[in-house]
Amino acid sequence: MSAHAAATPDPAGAPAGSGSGPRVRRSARFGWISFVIFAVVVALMALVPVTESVGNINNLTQLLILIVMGVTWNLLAGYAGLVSIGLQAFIGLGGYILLDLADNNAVQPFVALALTALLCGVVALVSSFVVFRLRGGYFAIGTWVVAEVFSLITQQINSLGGGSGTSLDALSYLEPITRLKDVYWAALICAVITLVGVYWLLRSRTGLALTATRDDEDGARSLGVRSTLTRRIAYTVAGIGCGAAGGLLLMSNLDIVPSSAYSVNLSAYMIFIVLIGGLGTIEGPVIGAVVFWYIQLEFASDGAYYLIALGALAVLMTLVLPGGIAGLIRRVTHVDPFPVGYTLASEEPTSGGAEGP
Amino acid sequence: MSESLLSVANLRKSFGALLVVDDVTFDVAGGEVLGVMGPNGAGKTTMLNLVSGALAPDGGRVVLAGKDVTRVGVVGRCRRGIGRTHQVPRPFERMSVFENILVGATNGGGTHRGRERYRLANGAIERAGLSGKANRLAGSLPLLDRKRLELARALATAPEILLLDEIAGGLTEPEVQKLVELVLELRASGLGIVWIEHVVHALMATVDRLMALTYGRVIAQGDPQEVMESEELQHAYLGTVAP
Repeated sequence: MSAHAAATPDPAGAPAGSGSGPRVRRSARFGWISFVIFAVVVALMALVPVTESVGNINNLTQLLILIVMGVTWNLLAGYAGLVSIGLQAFIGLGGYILLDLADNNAVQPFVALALTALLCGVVALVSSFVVFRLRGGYFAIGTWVVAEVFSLITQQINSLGGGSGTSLDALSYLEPITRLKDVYWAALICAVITLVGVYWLLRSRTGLALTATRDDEDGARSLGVRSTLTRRIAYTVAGIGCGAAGGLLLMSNLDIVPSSAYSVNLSAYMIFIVLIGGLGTIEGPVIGAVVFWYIQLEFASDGAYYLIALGALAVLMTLVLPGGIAGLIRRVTHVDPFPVGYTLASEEPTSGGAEGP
Repeated sequence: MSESLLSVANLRKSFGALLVVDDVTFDVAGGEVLGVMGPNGAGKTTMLNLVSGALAPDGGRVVLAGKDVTRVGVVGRCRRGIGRTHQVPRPFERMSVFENILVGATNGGGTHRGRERYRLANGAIERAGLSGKANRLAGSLPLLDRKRLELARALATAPEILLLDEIAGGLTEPEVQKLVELVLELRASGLGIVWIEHVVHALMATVDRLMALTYGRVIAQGDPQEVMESEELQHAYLGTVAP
């Protein structure tokens, strides 16, 4: 029975006569169009402070911060399977670290912003050793508890304003208009870095391991995936993103109070943004952030009715349009504008689309 | 069949008061297939989980290529060359078939890079009979293809030891024949294989040795024909010694 004399060293067996190996496609057809659109939008956004009025600049800064928050939450929930309602821990921490660095330690505020993001990443990394002991819903709640602990600790520190809050003085060296413009540009840079960074991460080997872990952790581990390490990387990146968002919020609002800096409402916003936009897509949270930002801008003055409508919209969207707006666009156009997956080119005709429902 | 690639000694595992794997010892050499039989609940899959590292044993040792890996987890054992399939397939449902297999090629035994991992993944697709389905979502596959995907992913990790958990169940007769050929081919390429299977003729066509388990204990081990005809095995399946 064993006429198999020649032993192949490669157990998976490369197909006979395949010199160059299979062709794997990682970009969509006409994929460059998405990137041209992205570049044009970023360029136009960069010119906003030249043309727009002061009020609009600050509003758009808020939009960019919402984008950073949404993209970050989506990285965890949509790609890593880590649903958290506690990322405000790093948003609040980001604000307070920036405050301490800039006001109490005379660090240049924009340098402090970069340091803040990195420090929040370190805190996220360390706290992951605690919260990763929890799974699923327990993880979601556990991270919230961490946020509350951070809030309570912050309230005890008098040099940071204690429970009644304080304001950022370090930016007062700038003319108000210059400050608004500079903070806007900083927010734009942060949003671009977050988007490009998360996209790059998801296309990397870590991204592949991350989505495998999301779908079946034990299955992934049996294929050699270091699932915990992979999730830790994602959580650290989320800490960096939320830290930057928190720092930017302080630079934009100039005031900070623990009760709102660490508010669970921030998580509700992030969830809303991602659900409306499209969970587990690159463009989804950006779309969701624009929608949320517009609703907030137009209707926030309506108080309780605004919140009720927001909740009703979120429920409606998850029932009618589970893939969010991005999911709808993908279903209609059959195009994944920012693919992170792999397509075997030799079998293209059978391909229905790349990633996710 | 000179020196053993995988050496398992006195493996023991209990869940609460229930002793599931009781003093199991066996060796597998490169280029050798060990078949594992036994009634449902005999502890076969648990034994496989102990070898793959998915479960930690209460006692005993697992030695791979001369190195004690008893304390190495499932991730480390996969990277050192133990690949396995799951009896109940565990596809990454929101990823394509090709991506599923690429996870193994990227993270498993060789931790392959660039084009090499694509070639490995593509080869595994063809070997497991999934050609033409590479770009489909794994979640949309029927059960049989999910089983094929299990095999393809395990092969893509470039294993030296392959643990197969009931991959022939549900296959049609020609498909079983193809599977038998594939296993023989893998054996010829030097892999050591442990194959749990209820499809007896598939086992008999491929294995060098057969091991029978019941209540977690090895009741017979050795030449397939002799094990099949042993009183112990017939007793385990039929509950009574044939006259």
